[in-house]
Amino acid sequence: MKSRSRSRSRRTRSSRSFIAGVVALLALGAAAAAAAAPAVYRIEPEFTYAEFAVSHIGLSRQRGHFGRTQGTIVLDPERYSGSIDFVVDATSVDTGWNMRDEFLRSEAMFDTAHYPVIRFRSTQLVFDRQRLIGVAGDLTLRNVTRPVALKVERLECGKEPDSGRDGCGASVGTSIKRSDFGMNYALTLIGDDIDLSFEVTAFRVPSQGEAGRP
Amino acid sequence: MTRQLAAATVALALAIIAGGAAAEETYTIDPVHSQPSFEVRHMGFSSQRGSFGKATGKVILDRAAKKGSVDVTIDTTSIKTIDPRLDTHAKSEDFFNVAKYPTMTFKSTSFTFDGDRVVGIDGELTLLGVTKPVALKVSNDICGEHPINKRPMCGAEAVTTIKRSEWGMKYGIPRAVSDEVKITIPIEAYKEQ
Repeated sequence: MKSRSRSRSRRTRSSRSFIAGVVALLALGAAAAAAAAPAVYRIEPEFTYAEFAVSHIGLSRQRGHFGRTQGTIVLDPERYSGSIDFVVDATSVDTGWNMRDEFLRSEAMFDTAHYPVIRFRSTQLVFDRQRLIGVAGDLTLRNVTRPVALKVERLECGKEPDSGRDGCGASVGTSIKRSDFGMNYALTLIGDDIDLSFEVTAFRVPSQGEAGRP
Repeated sequence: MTRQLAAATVALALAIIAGGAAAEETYTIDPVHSQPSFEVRHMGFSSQRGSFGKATGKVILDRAAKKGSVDVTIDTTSIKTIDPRLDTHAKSEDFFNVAKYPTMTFKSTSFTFDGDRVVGIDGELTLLGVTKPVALKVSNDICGEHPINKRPMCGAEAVTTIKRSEWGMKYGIPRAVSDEVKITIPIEAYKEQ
């Protein structure tokens, strides 16, 4: 640059450095954007389990899950931010016993005729350095919205061996009281404390810049 | 006098035998509240879960003598995962081969007690025609009566982790489906009266 500039006119030199500056800025900007771009993940329903466990007549712990879930996770570990929106189809409740599932769908319990959807929306993601360890948010169940804190017990990201897709797997848990959501039926037979555990698999949605890549 | 003594001895002996017999209780497992569930790792970062809807069997317990036995049959065709396509695959020759092996069985060999509560059950699991030992860890062994039908019953939870390859179920090991299978079994059983 230095040796060349000697023979160039002042105008050409300034014009060149201007272009170089713009290019450098653009490149830096792009690099910064790439580094800081939040990664968007879509939950894979087939490999995502929304499970609950509850004490039954004080003698055993019974489990069930919801077969249909969907949601989006946005993660930006560098800025310690992100968001989670997780939707559960309440009608897909499955405990391996049709009679019990019908009871759970009834007005006494999930009342799926009126409230077919259970939803969790994050308000804040909690990081330990760049590792997601918790999620604070609002759970809406039977049209009652209450704050819930999720504990992230495991979070692993990588490429799926077969497809090469970028994905993450997480184990997330929390406990709620169903009475907080107005689900008060038969509290002496079926416990009030409900353990929720989520085994989530989500794959990255390519951002616009990446979409064209092979 | 001697006769009376002999009679009393016999009576006492009979009472002891009766007492001993009375300490042995038989329980029938309630299938809908005793569904074994399992968890495997899939492709490195996710887990897959499923359960068996039909498990039947009996538990015999003698808490005073710290002895017990259990014999459970699980209907392999009752396997259920999150997706019907996975169920079909699980029932195929790659996994449970339910056409040839419609059941698996667990028979205990010994019980471990802490006081009068069961904390462990060692036994043998027969799956795909192969019989191998399995050790179950038991927690929350609690008895009471059903609050509605008032029948006496007990409940507990048993957990273990097995390697399915030991029973010859090797499909997809190690990456697609893990060899290790985590098993959780809730148990509710009615006392026979």
